[in-house]
Amino acid sequence: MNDSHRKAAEFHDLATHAHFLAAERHGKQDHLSGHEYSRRALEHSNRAHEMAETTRRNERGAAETFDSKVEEESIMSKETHTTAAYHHERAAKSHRAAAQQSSTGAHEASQQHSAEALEHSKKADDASKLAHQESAQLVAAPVLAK
Amino acid sequence: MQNAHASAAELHKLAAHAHRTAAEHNERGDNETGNWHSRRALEYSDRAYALAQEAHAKSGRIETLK
Repeated sequence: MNDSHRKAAEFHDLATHAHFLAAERHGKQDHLSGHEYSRRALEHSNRAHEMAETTRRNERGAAETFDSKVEEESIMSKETHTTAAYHHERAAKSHRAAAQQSSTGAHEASQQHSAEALEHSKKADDASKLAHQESAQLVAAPVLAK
Repeated sequence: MQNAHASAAELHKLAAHAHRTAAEHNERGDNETGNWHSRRALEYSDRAYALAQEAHAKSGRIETLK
């Protein structure tokens, strides 16, 4: 991107120089050469303008791409946290049921709830790891973009 | 064994709450705070999963003794 800015500045310099030469020739009544330098100045000026426009479009495009990527990652992170929360709530419910059945002496039912609780707990733990991975990436993303 | 299940349930509840808070912060674009709650959720989750394994192992032993 810096290269594009540098090229645009070079075209501006060329245009300025051509304008200066055109003025000088017109001052010396050499209107034919003056007109030629004036034409060149206009060409350089147009190139400088095009270069600046291209640079501006590229910069804006890059910024928009980055913004939409960050927004997309935020939505993904929100969904993975919500999924993890759901599995944790299911695990908590099964654990409470296992404790309840155990307190009444219904050990078979308690063990069944306990197995379900362990299954939900495993899913919840995996979901927590994934959600935290995505959250950490969101924090790291603005640093990478700089 | 009942205590292990009750403790695991409590830790899962805390993990779920921390995940929901992290999701809210991420949605608002406050990713630093979101990440902080996410780390807490993961800590609760690890402890909850360890307790779930322990509680289930105890459940199995009681069933075998019957």
